[in-house]
Amino acid sequence: MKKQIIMLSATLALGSLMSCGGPKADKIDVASDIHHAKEVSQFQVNKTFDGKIGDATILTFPQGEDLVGYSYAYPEVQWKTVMSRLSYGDQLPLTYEADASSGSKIAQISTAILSLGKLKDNSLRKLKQVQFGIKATEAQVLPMIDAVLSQFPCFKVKENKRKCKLEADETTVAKGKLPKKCSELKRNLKKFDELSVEQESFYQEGITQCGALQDKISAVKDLEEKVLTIRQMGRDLGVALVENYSAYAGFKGLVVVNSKEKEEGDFTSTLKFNDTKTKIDVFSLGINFGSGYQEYSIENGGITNLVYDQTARGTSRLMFTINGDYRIDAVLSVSSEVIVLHKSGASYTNIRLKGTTTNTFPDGKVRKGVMALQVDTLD
Amino acid sequence: MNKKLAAITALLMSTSTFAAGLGQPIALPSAKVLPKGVRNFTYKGVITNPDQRFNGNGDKDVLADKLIKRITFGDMIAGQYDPVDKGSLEQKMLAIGANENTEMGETVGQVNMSVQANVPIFALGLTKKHTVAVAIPVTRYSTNVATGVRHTNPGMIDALRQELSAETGSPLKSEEFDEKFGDPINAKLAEYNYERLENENDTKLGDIKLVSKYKAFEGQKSAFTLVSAVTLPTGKEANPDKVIDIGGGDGQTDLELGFANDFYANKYFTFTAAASHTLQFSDTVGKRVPFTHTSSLSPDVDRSTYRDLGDISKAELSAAWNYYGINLGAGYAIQYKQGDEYSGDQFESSRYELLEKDSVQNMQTLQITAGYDTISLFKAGKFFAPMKVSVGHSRVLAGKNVVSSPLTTIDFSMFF
Repeated sequence: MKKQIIMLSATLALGSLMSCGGPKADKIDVASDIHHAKEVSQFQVNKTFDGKIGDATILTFPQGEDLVGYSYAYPEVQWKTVMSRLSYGDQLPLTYEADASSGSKIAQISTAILSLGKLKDNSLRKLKQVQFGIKATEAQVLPMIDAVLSQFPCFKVKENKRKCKLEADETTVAKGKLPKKCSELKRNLKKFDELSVEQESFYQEGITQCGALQDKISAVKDLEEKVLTIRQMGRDLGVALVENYSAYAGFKGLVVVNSKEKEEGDFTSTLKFNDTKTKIDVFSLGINFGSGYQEYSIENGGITNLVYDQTARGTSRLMFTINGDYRIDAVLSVSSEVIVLHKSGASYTNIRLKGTTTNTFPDGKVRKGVMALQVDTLD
Repeated sequence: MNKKLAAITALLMSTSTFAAGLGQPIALPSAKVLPKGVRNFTYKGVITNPDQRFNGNGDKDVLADKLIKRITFGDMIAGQYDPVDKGSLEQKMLAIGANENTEMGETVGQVNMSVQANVPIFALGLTKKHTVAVAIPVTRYSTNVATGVRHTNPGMIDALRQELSAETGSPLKSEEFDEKFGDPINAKLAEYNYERLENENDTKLGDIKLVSKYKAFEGQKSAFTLVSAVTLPTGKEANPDKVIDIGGGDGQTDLELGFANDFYANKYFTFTAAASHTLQFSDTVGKRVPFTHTSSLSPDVDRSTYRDLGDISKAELSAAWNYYGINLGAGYAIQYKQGDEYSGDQFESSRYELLEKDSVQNMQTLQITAGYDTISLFKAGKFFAPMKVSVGHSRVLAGKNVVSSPLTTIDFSMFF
């Protein structure tokens, strides 16, 4: 027995020796090669902001099984017209099929909505540029038109007030009347009966010159009209989609916010910073959750949990909760966008508050959303 | 990555002492049983550094290769759990003129592991034909992990940052991208509530195995023994909240049935043929349920996932030479494991099926042993006790979905 105890002890001792110290894995050093960002978007605080919110979007994406069995088809002509403005527009589907998974349709809808948002932002830039172009063109062209028009005064004939002469004489009134528009210049031509061949030719050339100058203004105005049309078309496509899928899933996916872009309701959505732009003094949103506009503000408790701070990397951030028909927890970045209006370097700056929301509905469902507020600058 | 760990875990748990996935045998088969009343105590040490595997095509992979992975836009989109985030990223991809194959960078990383299983085995000869044994495995392991990233497409990264911050996104999104893309592996783990990858040393109790050998026949030229074993779920399972974790056991019960037939060629040579089939009983287990076939990472845990691990069939041939206590042996084993089955009711059934990927295994191994025993000396009264010391080495010749790193065993046995 003694020998057996010795052997058992020896075996256990050998076993312990074997496991002494335990296994040791080799040390590792893995180096990373990270490409750092060259610049961080900064909030320009040296601008004067318009206190009124220029434009606002608050919408909710579907989630989970919201879109099981859901199908949707965009109006083809409008969709193609709008999406042709994006380099990748033709890659987005025109329809969502009922038998596709809810997840894939949510992903596609997310892509589409963000694309429409991109178009809206693009069209805002384009609109600002076009509107600047109209002003610049008018500033340049209107004096030229005036100069043309000034060459064709209408000295009314005393005996027949419907007739004119280009120069005053004893048969005309002493003071000539200048046409105000090219159309008036053209219309006046028939009032001149006694034009010489040279005068007739000069007058016709004036009409042509005036028309050509007027066309320059019309062209930029037409462009503005086109931009506005496309912008509205994109907005309508987005609104129709959100309202359609949210009605299908049984939640309110789109709320309307009172803004300069959408002047509805009694309230004006307002965001006012203090002088140093370090604090928010006034924040109020006029929101229609479906049963009319209500004011949601810090003062009336409609907006709570307001935090305005900066991230470690210096991005200005605004967080708050809207206590509406459903709860909206928003985390928005506050950044400036400088839109170059002209090759001369003229620019326009707007302030964009943009980010994601977590929307908690009365039935307990939580869905993601996006929010964008735009504030114009006054200088 | 989980599959890799499952394979490592399988290696540790599926030796002839453990069960779950396929592992290399740690002893040559034998029809021998202990004489009545004789007891045997063995300490078995199993040492390996698991760093290679045979993949599903039968080709060799380095285990850490799964940490070294190209990051394409397609991967980034597939890795988004929320469909809204998927759609958002796809929109950014299209906007910057990229496509799913556009490479943005690659993750880099290395996992070094050293594993040692200590298995005390106690056996008792109940009758001259019937021997029972109990094996209690204890696994000790050391893991060193390091991860990193290489941003291989700076132009496209800048374009994405720009799109995220200036266009349809917000600067906060750009910051989020930088944080995630600066340490993509740990960022993804944090997002899915996994524990952070860290170096680790730990010791875990394994699944205790009860073995019964009954010698049904013994003649001048051969012996035939029936073998049965039950593996109890005593081991601590791999933690589903850790991406790299070596479980002490697999948490379910196995029943192994088989036989071994010794052929005595002469006084010194014994040839053995053996075969067995292991039934792995179903159970429920906590599992991360993947949402894409490209990665087993998932934020979703089903704590009561139904699991039925595939059964294992094994056939072995071996030759042993014993010359007055000097032992030399060699063996060949071929094993096959059926696919696993998973199901549950918390998530879509198709997601549970992703857990079954690469669970069919096969393995061919070659094993050699050398040792010395004092049994003949003891019988001759020239040594005070019968004992045995041996070393073994095993290599995987071929296989699918199994760890292929070699394995070394050291045995100390005594009989009393």
